[in-house]
Amino acid sequence: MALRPIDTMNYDASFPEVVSSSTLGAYQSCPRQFMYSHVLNLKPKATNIHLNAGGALASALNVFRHSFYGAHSPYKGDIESSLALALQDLIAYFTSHVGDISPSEWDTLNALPKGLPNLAVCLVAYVETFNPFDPHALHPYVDEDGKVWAEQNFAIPTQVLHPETNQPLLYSGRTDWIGQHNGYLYVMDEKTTAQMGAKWSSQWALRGQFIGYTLGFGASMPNLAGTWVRGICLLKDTIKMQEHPVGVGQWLIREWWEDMNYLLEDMVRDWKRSHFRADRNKSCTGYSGCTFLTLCTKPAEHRESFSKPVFDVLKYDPMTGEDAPAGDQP
Amino acid sequence: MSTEAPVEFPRISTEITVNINDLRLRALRGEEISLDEYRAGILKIRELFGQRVAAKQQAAPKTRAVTKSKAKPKALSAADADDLLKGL
Repeated sequence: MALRPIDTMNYDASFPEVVSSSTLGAYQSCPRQFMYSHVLNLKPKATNIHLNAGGALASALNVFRHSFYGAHSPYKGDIESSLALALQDLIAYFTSHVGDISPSEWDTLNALPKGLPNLAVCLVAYVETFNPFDPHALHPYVDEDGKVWAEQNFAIPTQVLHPETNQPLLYSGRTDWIGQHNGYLYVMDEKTTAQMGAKWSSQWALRGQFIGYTLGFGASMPNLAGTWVRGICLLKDTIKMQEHPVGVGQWLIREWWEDMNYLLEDMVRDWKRSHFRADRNKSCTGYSGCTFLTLCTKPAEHRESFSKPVFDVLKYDPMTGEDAPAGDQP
Repeated sequence: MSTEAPVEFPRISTEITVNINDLRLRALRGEEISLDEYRAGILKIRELFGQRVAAKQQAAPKTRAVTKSKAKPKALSAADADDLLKGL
């Protein structure tokens, strides 16, 4: 099916079979942005240091958890060796994503709060704050096989059918790790942020991502007791951390589920009528600006020529959290 | 379990920046870096952390600025005063 806004762009279009909170968030923010990122699968070629920093830190902390808590890890209970492995992963992630940069570019990156040295310090700050030896703290759940429950995911069928396969669209979630305390399990999600004011902890109560976690993980974890969000705030002069429980009632899950299915119907409707409207409002300039601003500010007939040098076609897999080539580019 | 207020840490020192950059450049060149070398990098960060935390603890406690309180003193009734005096 040719989509009207992009019929001059000659990219393969496909409606996602699996959606996540970020997919829904893109559509809610701007349907056109959803179309570019999740239907045409356009991903910017230039790396974004802010995204890299969050991903790099998540990857390194994951390495730490497996090393420190894993029953079969040679460094089980060894903080410094586990942190050393995490640092190794952090540097590997950074070098593979940022590559060989000039000394002046390195200095520029270092001036940012999310520069590599500050991230290395952040690893240490993390274990100083959330002490792995603290019996009152939340620690990763380790199952009977000795496996640490990190990067866990779920997928549940929704009430809306995929417009091409007629199979139920799947709603998926992927969390950083599953924590445990006193026999209960907790979904743990870590957020890197550039600011952590007094109201930071109050912004999560209605966050669809966490409501979805409660429904999705709760289906397979009868002793799931809640969700916790850990904030990691990287500033120029300091690093701040805090954690906060997110309570999700059954009534909220019911409301969210109904709303989410209506939202999916809207997305499928847009696909069927071959039109994803553009927001043309705050989402265009929010944060550091929409990734696709460079396309939306050009006439439709010029968008393809502008898109080729700037975007790759990579399909995001919510189940693995990774982008993969979505077939040959035209 | 919840940390009510954010826990704050000071930012990096020049020494850490240089040390991490050295590891990065060696990794970029494809040099083999042992776990001990990464561990040394971590130990240096932890050592500096320890020094800063100790320095902060030794520093004189901050004195609170004198401000006028808007709260009015609670008036005691004769009965309340009697109760208080009984406890002496």
